[in-house]
Amino acid sequence: MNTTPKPWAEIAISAFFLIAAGILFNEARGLPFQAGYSGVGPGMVPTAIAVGLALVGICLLYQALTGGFRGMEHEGAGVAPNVKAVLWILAGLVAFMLGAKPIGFVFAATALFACAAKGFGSTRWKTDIVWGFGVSMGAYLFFNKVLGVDLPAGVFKFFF
Amino acid sequence: MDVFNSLWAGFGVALQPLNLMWGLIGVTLGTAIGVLPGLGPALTVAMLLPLTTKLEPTGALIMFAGVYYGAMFGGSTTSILLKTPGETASIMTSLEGNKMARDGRAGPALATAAIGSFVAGTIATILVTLFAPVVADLALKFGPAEYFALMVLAFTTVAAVLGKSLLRGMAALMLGLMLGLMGIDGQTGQARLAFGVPELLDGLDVVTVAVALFAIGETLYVACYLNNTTETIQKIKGRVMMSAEDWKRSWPAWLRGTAIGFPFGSIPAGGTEIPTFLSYFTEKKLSKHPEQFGHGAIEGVAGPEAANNATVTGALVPLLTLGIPVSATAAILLSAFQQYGITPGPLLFQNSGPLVWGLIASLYIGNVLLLILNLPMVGIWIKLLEIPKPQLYGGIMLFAVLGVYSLHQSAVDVLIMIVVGLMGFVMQRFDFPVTPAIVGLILGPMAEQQFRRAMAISQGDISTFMTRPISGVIMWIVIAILVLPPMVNWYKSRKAT
Repeated sequence: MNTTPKPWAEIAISAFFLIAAGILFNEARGLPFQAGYSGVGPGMVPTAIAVGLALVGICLLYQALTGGFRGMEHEGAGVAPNVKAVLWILAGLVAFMLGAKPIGFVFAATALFACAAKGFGSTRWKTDIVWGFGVSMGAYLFFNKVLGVDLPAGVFKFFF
Repeated sequence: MDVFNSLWAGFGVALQPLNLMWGLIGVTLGTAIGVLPGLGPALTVAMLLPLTTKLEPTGALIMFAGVYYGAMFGGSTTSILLKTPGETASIMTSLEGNKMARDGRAGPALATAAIGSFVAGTIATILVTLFAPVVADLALKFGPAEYFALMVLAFTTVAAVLGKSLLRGMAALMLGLMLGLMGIDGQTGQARLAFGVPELLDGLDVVTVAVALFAIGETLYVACYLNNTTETIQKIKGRVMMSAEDWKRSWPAWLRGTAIGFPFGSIPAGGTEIPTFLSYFTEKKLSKHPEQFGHGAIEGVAGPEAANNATVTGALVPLLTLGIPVSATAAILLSAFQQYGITPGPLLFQNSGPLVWGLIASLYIGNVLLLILNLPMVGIWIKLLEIPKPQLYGGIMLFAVLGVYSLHQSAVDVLIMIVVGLMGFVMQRFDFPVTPAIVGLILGPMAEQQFRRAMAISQGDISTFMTRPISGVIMWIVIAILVLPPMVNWYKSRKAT
């Protein structure tokens, strides 16, 4: 069965839509609303979407404050969220983002693989690194040599 | 007959050794990712998009299409043996299929799923062959107003029909539409929502968003909530072949599943969930053994599996003839076409005849290949299920960043992927459907363009959408979809009290 999530999360989601509506509305104000033969300027459709976002945000907020989002199901209900796992995976992604250029695709991707595996509860980090390295190396060679997509070599520059 | 000549020529294209090979690679990959939980066809095609720089269009699109419908075949294996459905389309299959596997009837369950998928896929391909050119001819008469109306219909059905809540569907759609606005406005050159970041001027790449929502969001969700659940893989034991009784009970279910699935795919109604549910409950109602449902009734596997294959094949009709995708995978297939500068739509059949007929012919061949891959060779795919979760998801993350990073070798793309991935995680947790966001992202800009064209033709008169007959009818359908269900509910609740 569903555990009732804390309403603040749902309120935050509703607020996200309202803020998005505000940003988009502000953006649209700076663009011509009407233009050309059609009478439709680059600002008209964004304004319409901003109104849509605002409506959705208000309805979500109403539901959040009156007993929560309706008819919500999620498979993980009743399970304590594993925040650590999420942080490990995010750490891996950030490491890849920052590392891909300076140290090269292969090493950055290996780090990501190991972090994600760790997040999923793997305890054999050495094996993970070997696997991650193997798979990223294969992908690197396939993309660079076969497809001609230049993934950054990083430290490999000295070898290839 | 014109159609048969075209199809004959199409087989000439599809049977060229190279195209045959791409088709085989496509369906093999499709089966593999269908079997693996966590990797969907949308994600896989997204990751393969860089191949478009190297391959000629026919081969690449034959391969992508193979991934697309191959995943439906593979998905059934996982749902039968593991109970965790690989795709939403296999939820119903897992109900009966897993029960059958536990009773030692995994063989017949897999067989009825594979043969049913083949039957439905082939019949649906025949229907595509016959209907697509007709729809394309009809669509030649469509103007911008009609296209805009059709896209609004697609938005509405995708948002309203998928998921359990119209509101959350609409919310996901609005989010997608907003993301679609980013970048330079094609008609006036104005930058919108770029916030002065040069990388955003080109707009968000569908690949980045799709990978973020499907791979990153899904992986974070599984890591956060579902990693502790242990799953047991059912062994295939006992008789593998279907008995005469199984055949007798399966084939009407296959045909009914096809009949339910194909229309759902070919009208822009989005999703494989509804047709599989409908098929399941139809079978339950018509069965002579309704008491077996929930305890391993073979019809409950045969019907929904046929339905989901017919649906994905049927979805090629609006994609090829109108250029309107109704699922996330179809949306990415559309962007594969766009990579080659080919615009799916009514003119596709005239301008790119060999390509489109080669593609359709490859569906016939692909279905035969898939039957072989999934029935005698099912043992190989089961091995994939033995990959431990940490390494499986490590690999999924690796391929996800590979797909995104290989687009422009840009760290900004990875950052966008992480941010949108977190959104996807929250969406999963709070039961927002993801597909409307993808469809909104890719169809939104096209809809805006058609809207402006239609308005230019009518010289700013917005009533054009209601007064032109075809567009008017479509608009009324949209209104009906939005207004009728709440009204029926309201009426029911009033009656109840």
